[in-house]
Amino acid sequence: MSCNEDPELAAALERAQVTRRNFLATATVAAAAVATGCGNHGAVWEEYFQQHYKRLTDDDKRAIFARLEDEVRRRRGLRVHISDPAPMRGVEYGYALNLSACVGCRRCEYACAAENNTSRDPEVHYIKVLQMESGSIDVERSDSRYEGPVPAPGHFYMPVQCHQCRDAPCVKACPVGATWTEPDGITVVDYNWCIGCRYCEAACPYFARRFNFSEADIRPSEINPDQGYLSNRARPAGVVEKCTFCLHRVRRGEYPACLEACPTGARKFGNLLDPESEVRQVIDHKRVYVLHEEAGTAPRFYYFFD
Amino acid sequence: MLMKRVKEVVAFARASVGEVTRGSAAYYRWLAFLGVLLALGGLAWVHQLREGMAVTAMTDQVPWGAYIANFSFTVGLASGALVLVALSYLRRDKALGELVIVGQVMAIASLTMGMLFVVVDIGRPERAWHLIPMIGRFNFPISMLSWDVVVLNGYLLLNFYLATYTLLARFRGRPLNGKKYFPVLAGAIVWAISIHVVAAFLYCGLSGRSHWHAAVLAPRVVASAFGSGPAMLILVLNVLRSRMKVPVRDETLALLRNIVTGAVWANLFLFGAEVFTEFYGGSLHAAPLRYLLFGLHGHAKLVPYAWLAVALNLFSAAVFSIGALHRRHRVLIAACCATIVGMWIEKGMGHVIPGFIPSSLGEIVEYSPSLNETLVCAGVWAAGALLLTLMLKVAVPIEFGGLRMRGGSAEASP
Amino acid sequence: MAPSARITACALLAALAGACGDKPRAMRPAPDAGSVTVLARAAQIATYPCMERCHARRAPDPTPRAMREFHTGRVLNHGPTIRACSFCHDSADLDHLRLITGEHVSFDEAYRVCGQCHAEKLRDWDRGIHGAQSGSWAGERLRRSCPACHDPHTPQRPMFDPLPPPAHDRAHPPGASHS
Repeated sequence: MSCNEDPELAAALERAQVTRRNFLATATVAAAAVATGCGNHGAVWEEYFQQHYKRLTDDDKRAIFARLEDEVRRRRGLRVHISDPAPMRGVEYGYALNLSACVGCRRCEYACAAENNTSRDPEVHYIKVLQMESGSIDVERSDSRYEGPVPAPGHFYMPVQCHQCRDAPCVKACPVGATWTEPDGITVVDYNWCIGCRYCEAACPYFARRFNFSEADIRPSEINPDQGYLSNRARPAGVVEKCTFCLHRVRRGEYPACLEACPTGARKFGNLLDPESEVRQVIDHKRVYVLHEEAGTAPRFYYFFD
Repeated sequence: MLMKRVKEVVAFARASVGEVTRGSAAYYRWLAFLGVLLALGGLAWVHQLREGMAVTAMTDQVPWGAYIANFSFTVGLASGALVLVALSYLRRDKALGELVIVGQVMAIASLTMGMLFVVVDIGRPERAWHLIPMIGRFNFPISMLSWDVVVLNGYLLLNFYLATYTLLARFRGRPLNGKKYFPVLAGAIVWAISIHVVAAFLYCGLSGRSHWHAAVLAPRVVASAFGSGPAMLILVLNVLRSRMKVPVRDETLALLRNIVTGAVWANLFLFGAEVFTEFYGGSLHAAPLRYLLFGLHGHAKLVPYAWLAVALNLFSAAVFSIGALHRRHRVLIAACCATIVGMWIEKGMGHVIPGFIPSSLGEIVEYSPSLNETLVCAGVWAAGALLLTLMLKVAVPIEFGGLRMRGGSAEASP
Repeated sequence: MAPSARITACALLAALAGACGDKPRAMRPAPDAGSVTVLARAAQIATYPCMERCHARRAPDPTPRAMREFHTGRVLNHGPTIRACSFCHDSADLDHLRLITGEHVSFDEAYRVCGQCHAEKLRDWDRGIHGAQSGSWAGERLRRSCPACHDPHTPQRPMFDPLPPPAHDRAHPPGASHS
């Protein structure tokens, strides 16, 4: 079984190399800054004219990751590592959620926030757990601000997050192509390309997208340093972000953070193209349903009861 | 040839500066008032740029607020303003033709407001270059917003061309060259409809938002535009007639009034059709309209405004339909204001906000603009009014006052 | 349509959609078939091995009763039919569990005991549908045996407090009521 070992090893090696390279780069930049007395104006312009993610070469990406890592180090005094694992061939991610098992503990919400470095104030959660009334799957009769002991009698719980649609309305809506669906089915945002018009938020039937009304407020000690360029790296103010199924984890073979945090095993994740994967087993053997199927978005996220 | 053109433009610019800096005390008070609003709005926008969109009252649940509401309305004004142009074109009426410039100038001012409302709405305005095809990444023809960018800019260009071409020709004392003018004019008339249809498609293309996902939206939006646009024109023409001695004939005003009458009734009819469809079947999709008109689970911030809009629209429909009422000048003016405010509520916040309430996950998060947002909106409106005032201040003397170029310098002839 | 015309049309559309200048997307090879491992459990039981620690010297008392001397936390409340330890535990060899057929089963394979009644759950668990897992979706999937989550003696789970709703949610400022 090489698949989950090799990338990790490679990532570790890369991390080591990148650290060294960054050290040199930082030293060079620092020397240049001292010599010219011009601070980081170059970086500002570089960022302003940065091209769309899909037009970047590998060299461009390396320089950008280094710049971003350097920025976090300067501003937050923290060493982070930004990676950009490529999608795997023959893989299309899917998610299934067992509504009979979910007890509404919100562990997934907080694990997601910790993993993805979402803002703590205002508090941004990609996942919303809805407390539903028995006898109805009408979300309008749900409550997401419930408290008190769970599972409450007469209720069931339905966590909602990005459904990674096959025909994603957010992707259609974006006027600048700043959000798109990757070959493995994950819809991502280029945080350096988004203009912040929030048309995608209006288009999404799942309340999956979040806007950075201000820059993420998060203590350096709580920042997860393992970062993906298209997922949980620092987002500037004024752009949209979203759940990426923890792209930086799942492309290394790991499970998303929400799944690992779930104490009831309600969350199932895997490769939709692999008949042996848990998510395919659910679709093949259970009766699944799709939220707001009438919107025609063809999600890769399924709910089921057992 | 080129030198001659440059001289003409310079003369035109100098004459324009001369015109806008000359005026009565009331004119200066009006400019000062707009200037103060503009400055306040500008400061509020700078505040928003520094602090982020956090200074607005928008949320992830209601990601569009007063800015986009006003954007929708001003786009309506812009397309409605072209009614005058269309009328003169269809009727080949010379007296109407002289007023065309007013419609064009109003379209330019309204469009500028619409675009400013978008600029203040986006989180990263400095990245607007991402919209430029090839250099940026313009998602055309997939994104409806990209269509909107195309039609709005195109409409602005068309009207800018028409207005400056007309004014420059008149200024030079030359007749209009029909070949250079009428095809563009015809294009602008068709384009006027398209900008509002596209602005409606922005909303009804969203399959996940039941409130907007209705075919009636586009005709409703066009109907309201043909109400508010000509109503605004009646107001502007009245001011021009009384303040600047522009010869506006009563027949012209009557024509515009008839258009408003039709539009107001059409809008009310479509509104009624929508109300019936939503409520008779009793499906869950009626929730946004229920929120707007009656409130939902005790949340009813928009209800008074929604009924105010209904009342204003009914009032203006009555006035415009009953001769004994609209023949009185003051009542007519009041009805025009009622139409504009009624449509502004209905096609502004009354149209945008309920689309988000309840949210796609059933949450009810209400919205009312923050002080900062309100100031920015006021600033944009002031910018539009200022632009309209200044453009009219130049256009009216050229069109009606005989302001002409003479040997490279300009002066008003008696 | 001639191929050249088609190519031109495609290029034009791509340019309109803004896709010009895109670099080809790098892809990594497909993952191999994964494996499933059930996490061993016996070693995690505090009193295991039972024979060596106690029961080699002291035979278990087969009568159903409240435990007062040892295993005092244990309350047997698992359905109407299970009334005695020996229903699942092998009284002669307490290091093992026992199926109804009499077969010895290791504590690591406790799911086989559970599956005698809960056959559907066992099937779902076997497919990866039921139960929490960890490890790697593309590599070694780690599954937990039933008792890792369900106490077989008292399977009912009490209600508990969830983590709170986000306190600094922009849409729900503190002090505001919610519906």
